[in-house]
Amino acid sequence: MSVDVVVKNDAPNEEDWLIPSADVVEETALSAPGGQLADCFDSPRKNTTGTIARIEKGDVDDSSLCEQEDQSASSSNEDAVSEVDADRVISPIEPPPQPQRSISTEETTDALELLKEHGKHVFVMSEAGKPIYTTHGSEEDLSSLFALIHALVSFTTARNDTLDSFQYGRLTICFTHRGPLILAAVSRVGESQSQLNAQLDLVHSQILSVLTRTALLRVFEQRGHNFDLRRLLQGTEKSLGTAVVAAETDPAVGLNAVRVLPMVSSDRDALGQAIVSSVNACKVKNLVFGVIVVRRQLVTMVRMKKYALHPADLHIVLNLVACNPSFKNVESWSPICLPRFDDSGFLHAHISYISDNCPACLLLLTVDRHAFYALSEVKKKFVEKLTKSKSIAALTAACNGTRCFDLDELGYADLWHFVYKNRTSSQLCSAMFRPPFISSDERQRLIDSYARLVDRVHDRGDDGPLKILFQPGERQTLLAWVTPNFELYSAFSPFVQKQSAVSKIDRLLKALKKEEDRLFLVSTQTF
Amino acid sequence: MKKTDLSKKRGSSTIVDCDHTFTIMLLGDSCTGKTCLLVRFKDGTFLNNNFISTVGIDYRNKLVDVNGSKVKLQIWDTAGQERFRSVTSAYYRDADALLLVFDVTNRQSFDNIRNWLAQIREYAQESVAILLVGNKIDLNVQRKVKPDEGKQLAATYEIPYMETSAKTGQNVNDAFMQLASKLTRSRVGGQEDSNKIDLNDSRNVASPYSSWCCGGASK
Repeated sequence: MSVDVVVKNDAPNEEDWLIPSADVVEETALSAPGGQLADCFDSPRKNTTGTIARIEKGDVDDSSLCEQEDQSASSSNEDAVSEVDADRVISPIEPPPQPQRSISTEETTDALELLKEHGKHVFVMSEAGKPIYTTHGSEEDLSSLFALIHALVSFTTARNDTLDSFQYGRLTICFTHRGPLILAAVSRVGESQSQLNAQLDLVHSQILSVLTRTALLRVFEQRGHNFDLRRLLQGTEKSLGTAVVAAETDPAVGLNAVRVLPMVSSDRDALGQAIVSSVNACKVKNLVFGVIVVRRQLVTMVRMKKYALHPADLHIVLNLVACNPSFKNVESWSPICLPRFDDSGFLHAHISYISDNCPACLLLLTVDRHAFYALSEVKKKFVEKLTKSKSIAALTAACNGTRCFDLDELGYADLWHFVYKNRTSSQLCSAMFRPPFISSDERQRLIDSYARLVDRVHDRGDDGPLKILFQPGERQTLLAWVTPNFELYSAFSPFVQKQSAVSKIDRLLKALKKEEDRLFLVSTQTF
Repeated sequence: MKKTDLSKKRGSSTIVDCDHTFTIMLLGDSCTGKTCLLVRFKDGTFLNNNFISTVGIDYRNKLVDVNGSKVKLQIWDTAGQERFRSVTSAYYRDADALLLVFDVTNRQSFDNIRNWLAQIREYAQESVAILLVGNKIDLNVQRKVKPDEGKQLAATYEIPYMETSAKTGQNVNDAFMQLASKLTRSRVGGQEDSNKIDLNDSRNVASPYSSWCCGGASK
């Protein structure tokens, strides 16, 4: 059952070596979470699968013609996968040689053509099958595809079963059925089931963040199953799309960690103190979080004693700021639901950029919906304090300074890149891209390899994550290192030796430790 | 009148640099050009080809001169989307004046004006000054609402009507300034008179501008 092996594997013809050390868990067979998949496709369901298979067969053909995303996947392996797949999942129906589409209206063909242009799609619909969101194209044009997804999910639900995912060649299709919503992701860029599920989770959280779970349930209850939820989500299409893109392009999202802007720790502390003292000076109660962000990075954060801000919630905040240039030059007041904090209600956010010259954005989150004027005062006071203490200059300089760790400082030519996650604080630091990762395609390919590496390390069922994985490859050699305190994923030159790579990582960890208070937000102040 | 302590505090702190402070709120369906009207009024520019939708409500200030007195306008720009109704309605009370905007090329946004007015009756101060604005008259070819229809609706509710273009800037300044001077007059004239003045004003204000717009529309 090695379907997932090829999908996950960066370079299938390369071997994986484990570092022989006492605490290394031996990696034997790669986990195949598609086990439940096989259960899903017993005989009565195979017809449905066949329909999907026929539609997507065209996609598979096309993508193997333009093999840019994953050149390392050798063609022989590609064939092997198809065979394995066919045996396992869709054996009774031989995929026809020509792409034949069971849905043959002209519009549908156009819609499918449109889908083929993109490597990945996310669909959201109501339980009644009413289209709510699609990443590409319009919901109307893709209505037949929505209907198909709905049919598949309903079919399994009616049999007290759950349809998780299925695979066809390079195509992975994942489904999530949550409350009144059904979400599906279709990908042929080699993402794994767990990655796609995480992305569906993200889309779901984004929807909750504008509606709350309570309101979402209520609206279908009160206005009927046929209610068009797009009415309430109007204007959020962009942030839904951007959230998916962020999940693909920023390892922080997939690792459930937050990037922190590098900054001298005393300057960072001064910012936190300034927020706390401004809040106290204005006698504001009910403020839950105060956050400063810049370009999807956290600068600092203060919080109410009892509460912590989950990284997934913080990503919703970061996404909100990144997607809405309307917050510039103005004070905004908006409700926002942070599902991990409380998915039943809204927090209210006072959102404003710190000054015209400073790209950092201050968010003050409260439970009091009438607190705008009070928080406006807090913001004014905060800026006054910053200006007086010259902290604003330090903040602006940090915003315009380096945003990542500079590997040149270490002077290792063959350590090309790394991503480091502090597991206790869920904060992330990565290296600045440097050659050979120059073009955005090359960078994206590295990020994709990391994603597969993360999957291999973690997706091991009850065995727990691997501790060290050394994976030589044609393009680069990858090294993953996971302890209870951190996760580190790194890319070396393909010629690096195991021992040398490990000792360099050791040095890197020491350097990171030394600069910990500049690279991470070590402590958060409370009020 | 019914403002919170903090807004009073805010008023007193700004009293040094202005004679009057008023709160104006922009309302109307999404994509009718509320933010564009405001940016045109505040900065004299047009947010061209760059669809940015407002999230929640935005707050801006502008200092204007009304017959020699300095007037500070605190302007709330609201998101038109349905899901923000409860947030925006919480702030209706604070508004001295409302700019109710529809898009002359979007019939639905005009048809929804009655619903907006119902909301306003429910949540806003009784004495609130309202100005109905038909925006995007530069897109005359795509017009779906005739100037007369706008005028008629406004007359039914006894509110003034104006047609504007945030793109060309036509009438934008006037719309805000009409409200500013009306508010100033009513504050100077006292509460008792202001209600009467409101109604009379409405007709006075409406006629010159709507006829002006009709000329534009007939082309």
